[in-house]
Amino acid sequence: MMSLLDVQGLTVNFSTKEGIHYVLKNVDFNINKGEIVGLIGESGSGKSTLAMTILDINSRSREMSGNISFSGEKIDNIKKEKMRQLRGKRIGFVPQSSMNALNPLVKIKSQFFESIKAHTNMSREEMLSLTTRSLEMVGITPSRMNSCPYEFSGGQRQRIMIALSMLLSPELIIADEPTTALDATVQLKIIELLKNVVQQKQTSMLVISHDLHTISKICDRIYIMYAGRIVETGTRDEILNNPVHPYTQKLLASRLPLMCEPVRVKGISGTPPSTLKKYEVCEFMERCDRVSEICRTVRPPECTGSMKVACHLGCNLECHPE
Amino acid sequence: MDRKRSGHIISRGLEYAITFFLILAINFFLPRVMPGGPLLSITGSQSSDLPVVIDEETKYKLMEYYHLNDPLHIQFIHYISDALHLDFGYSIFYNVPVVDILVGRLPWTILLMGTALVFSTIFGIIIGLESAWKRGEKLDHALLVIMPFFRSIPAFFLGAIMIFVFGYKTGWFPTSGSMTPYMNYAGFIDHALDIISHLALPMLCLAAFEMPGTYLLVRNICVQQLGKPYVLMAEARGLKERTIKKHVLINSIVPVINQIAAMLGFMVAGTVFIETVFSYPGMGMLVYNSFIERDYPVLQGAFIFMSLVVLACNYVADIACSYIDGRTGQE
Repeated sequence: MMSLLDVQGLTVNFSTKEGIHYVLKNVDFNINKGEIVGLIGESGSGKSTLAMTILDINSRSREMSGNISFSGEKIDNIKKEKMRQLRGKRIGFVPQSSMNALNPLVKIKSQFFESIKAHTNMSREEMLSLTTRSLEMVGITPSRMNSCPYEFSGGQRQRIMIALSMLLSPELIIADEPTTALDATVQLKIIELLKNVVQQKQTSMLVISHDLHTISKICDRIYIMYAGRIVETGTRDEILNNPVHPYTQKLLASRLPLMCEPVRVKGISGTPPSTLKKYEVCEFMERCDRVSEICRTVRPPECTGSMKVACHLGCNLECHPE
Repeated sequence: MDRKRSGHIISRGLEYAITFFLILAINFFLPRVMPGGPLLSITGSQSSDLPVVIDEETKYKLMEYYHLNDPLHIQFIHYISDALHLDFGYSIFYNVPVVDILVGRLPWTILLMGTALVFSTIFGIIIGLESAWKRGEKLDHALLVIMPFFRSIPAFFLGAIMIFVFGYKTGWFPTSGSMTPYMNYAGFIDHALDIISHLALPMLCLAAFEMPGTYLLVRNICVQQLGKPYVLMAEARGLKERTIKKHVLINSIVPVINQIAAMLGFMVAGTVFIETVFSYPGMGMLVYNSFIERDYPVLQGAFIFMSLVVLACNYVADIACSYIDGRTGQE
C-alpha cells in the first residue's frame, strides 16, 4: 500500500525564554491511502505540535529536523507559497478549539467562499453550490449560511468546521481533538459523522485525541505518544487487546466504564514529564511500575522501522544482542 | 436583528441627548456659582483701577434687562430655550452674536480635525497591523520606539519645528492662516489647492500627535487577535496573507473605533495648541484668544459646539460598531 503521509525522524524544539522545549523526539509516522489513523497521548505530549508541524503553521521560534513527505513529495522546508497551496486544498485541518476556529464576525458563507477562492477559480454559482452541498453533508441547513458563527451551537460549529475542512475534498484530513469540549452524546455523533464523510470521499484521516476509547472505534491503526515520542504502534486490535508498553496498558486501564456500578478508575500516578528536560533514559520510567534494572541504564529502542514498541518489555533477543 | 439594531441606535441616541443636556447644564451653572457677576466686568469694583460709577437705578435696570434678578432655574430655562434658538448671546470682545463667530470658525476646525483623524487612523491601522504581524521582529521593535517618541514631543514644539523647516527654511508651505488673504482664485481647483497647502502642516502636526496612540492600540489588539484560534485555522485553510489580515482587522476595528471616538476630546485640546501655533482660524484659536480676552459668551458657545461635535462623532462610532459586530447591543 502506498504511503500518503510519511514522517521520518521528526524532531521539533521550541526555544523560549525559559529554555529549549523538546517537544517531538525522533517521530516516525505514516498514513496510508484511505486509512484512518489515531494518535493518542496525554496533554502536552506533542500531538498537536505534530499536526501543526505537518501543516507548517507553528513556525515561530521552531527548530526542526527530519523528513516529511506527502504523496511522495517532500514538504518540509518548501516555499511558503507552495505550502499554503497545499493547506486546505490537499490537507484539511479540523482544529482543537473548533468552537472559536471561525471568525465570529464573518458570515459562514463568506468564510467558505474565501477558502474556495484561495485555491481555485470557481464562479459564484459553483462556489454557492459547493458550499450548499458540503453544509448538507454535515446536516446544517444551507439557508443558514448567511448567519454569523455566534448564532450556532457548539456542536453545529464543529459540524461547520468539518464541512469547511472537507470543502475542497483534500486527500488527508487532520482532526486535532475533534470532540473535545463537546458533551458525550454529541461526541459520538461527531465521530460518526467524521467517519462517514471520510468514507464517502475516500479520504485518509489522522485523528488526534487523548481519549483512546472515543476514537478507537473508527481507527484502523493507532499510534501512542508519550513525552514527544511514539511509544507504541499497531492495528486497532493489537493496541486494544494486546498492549505491550506499560503506558498503553495504563491508558487502557484508566477507562471509565459506561453504565455500570460505581468503580474506582485507575489513573496513571505521577505527572507528565517536562518538555524542558532532556531525558537520557525512558521518559516513562518515573511513573512505570514495571521498571527493571535495564531501564535505569539503557535507553529503550526507538519505535521506528519494524519496531512497534519503545520499551524493553517488547524486545526480543535481536534488539539486545548482548 | 435589524429591529434590534434600530432599537439600539435610538436608545443610544437618547443617551447622548441626556449627556448633551447635562453638558448644557454644567456650562450654565459653572460660571454662575463663581463669585462676582456679569455687571462687575461692566461697572468694575470700587477697588479696581478704573471704577465706572453707575447708579443703583441703572444697575437695577440692567439686571432686569438681562434677567439677572430671576431665580437660577428660571434663568436656566431661558438659557435652554435661547440655546435651542441658537442664541448664545453677544461676544464681549467682537460685539457680534456668538453664533456668527462660531459658524465662521467651526468648518475650519472640522476640516483640520477631520483630515488629521482620517490620516492618523488609516496610517495608524496600516502600520499597527504590519507591526503586529511582524511582532518581535526588527521593524516591530523600531516602531515601538519611534511612535511613542512622536507622541511625547509637545504638539506646539513639533509645530514650531515644522514651521521653521517646511515653512521658513524651504518655503514649501505657508506658515499661517487657512487661505492666502486678498487672493483672486482662478477657479475652484486653485482655491482648493490653496486651502490644502495651508492645511498640510497643521494637519500633519495633529496627525503625528494622534497616530502613535492609534498605532499602539491597533498593534496590541492585533497581537492579541493573532493568537486566536480563528487565525490559526485561517492559516490551516491556506488562506492568503491578505485575507488573514482582513480577518484580524475586522475583529480589531470595534475597540479601535470606540477608542478613537473617546479620544476625540483630547484631540480638541490638541487643536487648541496647533491652531494657535499655526494661526489657523478655527475653534482652537478662538478659544485661546477668547480666554485671553475673558470673552465668556464665546468660550461657553465654543464649548457647547465642540462637545456637540464630539458627541456626534461618538454616536456615529456607536452606529458603525453595531453594523460591524452584530452582537453589539443585543444583550
